[in-house]
Amino acid sequence: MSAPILACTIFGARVAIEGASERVTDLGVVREGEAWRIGAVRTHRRELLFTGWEDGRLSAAAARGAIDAVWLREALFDRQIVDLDGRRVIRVGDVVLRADGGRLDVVAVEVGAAAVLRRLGLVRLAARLEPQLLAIDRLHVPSAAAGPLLLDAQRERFEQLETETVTELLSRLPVPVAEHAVRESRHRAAVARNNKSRRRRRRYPRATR
Amino acid sequence: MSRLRIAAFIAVLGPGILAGLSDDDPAGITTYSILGADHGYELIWVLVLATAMLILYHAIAVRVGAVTGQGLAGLIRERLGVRTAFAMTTILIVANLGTTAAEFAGIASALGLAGIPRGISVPLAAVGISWLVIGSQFKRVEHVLLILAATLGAYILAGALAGPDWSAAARGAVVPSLSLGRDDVLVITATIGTTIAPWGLAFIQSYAVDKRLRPQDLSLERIDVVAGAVLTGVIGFFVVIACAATLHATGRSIEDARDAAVALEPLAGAWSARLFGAGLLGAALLAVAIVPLSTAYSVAETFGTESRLDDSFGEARIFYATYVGTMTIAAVVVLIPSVPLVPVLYLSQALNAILLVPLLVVLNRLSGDTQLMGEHANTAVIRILAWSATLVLLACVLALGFVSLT
Repeated sequence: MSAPILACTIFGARVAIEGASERVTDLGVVREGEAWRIGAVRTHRRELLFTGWEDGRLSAAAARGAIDAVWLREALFDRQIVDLDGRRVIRVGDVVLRADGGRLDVVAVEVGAAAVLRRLGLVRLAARLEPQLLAIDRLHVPSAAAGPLLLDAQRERFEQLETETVTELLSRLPVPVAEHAVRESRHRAAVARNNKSRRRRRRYPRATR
Repeated sequence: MSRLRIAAFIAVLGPGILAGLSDDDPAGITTYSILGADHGYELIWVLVLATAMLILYHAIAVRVGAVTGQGLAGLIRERLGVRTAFAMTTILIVANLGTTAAEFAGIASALGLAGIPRGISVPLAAVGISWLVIGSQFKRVEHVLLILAATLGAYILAGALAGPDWSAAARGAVVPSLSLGRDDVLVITATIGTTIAPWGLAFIQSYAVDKRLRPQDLSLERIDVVAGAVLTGVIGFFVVIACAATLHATGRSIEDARDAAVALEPLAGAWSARLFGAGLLGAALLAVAIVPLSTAYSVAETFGTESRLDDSFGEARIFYATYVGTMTIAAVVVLIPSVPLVPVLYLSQALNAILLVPLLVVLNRLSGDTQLMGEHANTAVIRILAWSATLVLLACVLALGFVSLT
């Protein structure tokens, strides 16, 4: 196990691609069970398959066809974290990775002012603050497109929640996103019913009141 | 309206009224007074236009807040990155400092009419409002602010007592007349600029989130937004007609809202002047509470530590420290005689103008984003209206910049 690596320090670095190199704009996660494993790399030009991490250098290979990955910038960076009561807790400032035998895994997210200051280039000021980390397995990402990340709601706990709680939590998400978030969940039918009434309310605002 | 529906409306009432009426701050009242004193009833249509744009943008900001559960700065950070959010918040901090100083100057002017020196009135207002915001729960803060907002009704009485020419006022409201002289451009752009301000947009969106408004509240919340904006316009209308009926009719010119209150006395009677002064105090107190709130919400959102008025000081340090810091610096600026207030006000107005158009573009894009807003994204009609209003405001900002530099 090596020292933790901040995703922000990889963005803008170069990735080696079969003799050439391009600048990294994002890293993509391909979920393998519980692990958040980096499986894809995005550059200004294209999406690539991650092939390894050695001595602080990324390498990647051209992909055949589209890559099905969750991109860190879209799914985690600057997204709001809410607890299961819907309270806004904090925002993701950076993503912490760990290298393990040529692989890269997401292990935590950094929250708080230090990450913000570092990204603004105020590195010395950021270094004076204690970094605050949240283990990645404490977060549930209902949607990679929009909406908050849920704190302490892993898939199993998400399934154990009262359906009313889930419906309430997802009521802020756009209807298609909320439906996508529970597509493999026992809450799917209830959320779909709620979304149907939201659509009806939208169309006939007076009729339902 | 059923009793249940009225109760539901009272529950969502607040963001539109407070954000709207705080636009009628001392700077706004001064602009309306000059509009009436220099141009009579002719340019009242500008107020109608500004009110329509206020309804449009406050409704958009509340909708984005209720649907996403995020304030404007937080959403900008999520969608456009931390650097953009930081840049926007930095400009807002400086612009709001100048605006808050102007509100304190308004308090000093209004209480100065009653013989209270600024050395007492300004610190008292700063400590009192800070104590209210830090020490009280959301509901109490909202109730006190709504009571302060009600004092602006004094302007309606002052306007009615001034004996205006109602038919000329009605004609001025619906028949646009325009000459492109330097003074006309200045007063038109100032009227629109004072009505739609970046801090108002940042405040209303964050406040709607703080109030925990949900998408299902939006149909009732629209009434609050429309009522708030229309009241803002109506109060502006009465300020204009009070000055048009008296100062314009006798050919007198004024520099600020205090001048207007003093000048009204021999022309419209002591009660009209007193009401004008009371309205100025209420307007300044309301705005001095709200402008720093928009700074505090935005700074907390940029650092990712979103906070609520219900939070204690320990739970929301960045939020309350920003609030108290803004209050303190602005109060000190007004109290130190060697600090030139006029350049500070010009700087804050210039920064507000610079920030406004990019903020409107961002709001247009966020509110039209179906991935973010789902079924609540802008309809085609709202999209056209919003972009048209942005173009009008861009034209105003450019015209103001042009006449200021020539």
